[in-house]
Amino acid sequence: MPKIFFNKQAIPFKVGQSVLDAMIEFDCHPAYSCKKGVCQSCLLKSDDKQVANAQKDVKETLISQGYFLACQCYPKEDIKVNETDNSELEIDVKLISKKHISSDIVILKLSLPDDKNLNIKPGQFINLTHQGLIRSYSIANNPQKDKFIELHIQKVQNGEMSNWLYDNLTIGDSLKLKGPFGTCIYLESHLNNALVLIGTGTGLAPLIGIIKQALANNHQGKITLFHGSRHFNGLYLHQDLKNLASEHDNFIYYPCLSGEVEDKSSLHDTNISQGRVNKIAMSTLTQFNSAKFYLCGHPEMVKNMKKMLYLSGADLNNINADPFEYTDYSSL
Amino acid sequence: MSDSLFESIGGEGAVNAAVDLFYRKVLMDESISHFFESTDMDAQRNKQKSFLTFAFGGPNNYSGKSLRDAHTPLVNNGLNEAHFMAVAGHLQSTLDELGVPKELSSQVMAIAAGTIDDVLNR
Repeated sequence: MPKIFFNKQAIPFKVGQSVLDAMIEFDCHPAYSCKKGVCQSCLLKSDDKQVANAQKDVKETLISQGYFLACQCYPKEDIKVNETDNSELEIDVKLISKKHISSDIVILKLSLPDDKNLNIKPGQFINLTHQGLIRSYSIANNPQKDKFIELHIQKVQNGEMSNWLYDNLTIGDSLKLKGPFGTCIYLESHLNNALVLIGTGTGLAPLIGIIKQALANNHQGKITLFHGSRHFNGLYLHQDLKNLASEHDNFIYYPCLSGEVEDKSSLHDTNISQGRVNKIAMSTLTQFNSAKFYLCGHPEMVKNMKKMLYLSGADLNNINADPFEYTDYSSL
Repeated sequence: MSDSLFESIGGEGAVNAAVDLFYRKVLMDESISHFFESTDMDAQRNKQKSFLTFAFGGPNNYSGKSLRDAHTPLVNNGLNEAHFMAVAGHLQSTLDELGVPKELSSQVMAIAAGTIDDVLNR
């Protein structure tokens, strides 16, 4: 059996098994979260050429130092891998603002160190670490301009990190942050293109970041946002988005409720459409070939939406799907 | 000797023109779409591109073994001759829609047909 050499350990693996899975099986307790090559929690380092296929979306500066994703690396022969130097990746941040916006959503603002130019863009994501847990959260503002990072956290049932952030984290607490990662961002070269953003739940976070940046950039094309939730309180930026739409002629906001309407007052809000966000988006949209699409939220919605847009004539290159699956594989 | 099939059909440009037509047809066909659906549609589209490059007689990395291995999980999931024929039908209609002349499209279809034993792991 070939072996992975890691920290003086020789970890046997089967060809076809990822470096990450071999390490988990050998009780190395590696850091990881999504296991899909997205969250970048499982970054390791190696000089071996066998990691070349496991560097998708890893930053150039990190690739040049041999960083790769353990979950995407399937070696065929012996390979030596090293732990990453966290001081190269981690940033210390402090909680400066916390706003409980509903019974399960909280908006956090984190201070950024002055001395580091992080070049964080709205729509990208960062990883927060706490007591051995790593979770990814999207950036909901423009940190370059604001000098802080805004995150929208939805409490996940039995989700250790999200519950801790919602319930326990207090102003002044320090956190370790890694990132930014991700390529789901606004490009100034798209100034005249229509932007269509479709999200569910706190999948709204990266979308609102992108929208604010586009508006600040004096975006000329039409910007259409579809935000879906089962219940009215899940439309957690409803009033802000309505205000934003009344201030900007080229921004249109479609709130969509898919669950039963228990609060009839939301029915009087003529803005709100009843039904699933993907159905409403498909029945509303008419232009598919030149628009830039941004999708984020429930994995089934994202997958279905991407397929429907493609079948309607959208170019796959124009569909930015935040590939986040909010499944915590490390707890399974 | 006449030009190669790949050159006559229009090379990479032809592949680019065909790939979305072809992949959309396959995805819209409910009898086979589940074999082609994936979270990573971009990767799937690239696979269709390599397949078309191969079928158009272009430079490719296809080998009988890799085709065979790549389709083993699908065969285990019930991939059969009817599915193969359905995909071939979509390839034919893609070529027709693009106005590829009969003498070229029949060569493409012959190359595609030649993969049946590897694809179905027979």
